[in-house]
Amino acid sequence: MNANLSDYIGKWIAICDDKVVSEGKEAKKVYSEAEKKCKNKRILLTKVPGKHTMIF
Amino acid sequence: MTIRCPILPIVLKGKRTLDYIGLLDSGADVSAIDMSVAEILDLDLSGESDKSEGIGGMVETIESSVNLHFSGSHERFAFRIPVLVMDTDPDLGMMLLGREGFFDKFVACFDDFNQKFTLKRNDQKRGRRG
Repeated sequence: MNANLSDYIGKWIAICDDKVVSEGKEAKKVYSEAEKKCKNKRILLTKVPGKHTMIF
Repeated sequence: MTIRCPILPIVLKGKRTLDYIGLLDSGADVSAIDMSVAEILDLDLSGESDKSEGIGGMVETIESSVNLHFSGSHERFAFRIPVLVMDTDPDLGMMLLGREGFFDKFVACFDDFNQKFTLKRNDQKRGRRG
């Protein structure tokens, strides 16, 4: 899947059926919203990184 | 803007299952995951807590483990991996795949020029040297 995620930089996003179904600053809220929208489907959760990724 | 880094689509299984992203981090002694994701997976967080040091300073961590699955072009891999659950702000947003429990299972080759990496199962048995 190729997608332009630049609108979500720094945010958590949940992807289901190749679509962003929820986004926000808190992973648990984003996942919980996606679970409600995508019952019994696989959910990909990730945070969209900025231009340069530094590990803590 | 295109961001390229050595990431791997993985599936994490705790009490819940989650599709996630792993970042190959040969500089990390062990693998690490965000607290928020550990809570979503409902991992056991009763393990020993400690502080770990990274480039940005110290971070509180808890020892745990998670079932990790991923697929290569010819093979599927599934194993339990030790993880440090880290409570950082902001979240990292990816699982760091470090040496203990991950790199020690594979021969890794990074080809940044061609923007790819390969992982081959390491079947060598550790033995005595000399």
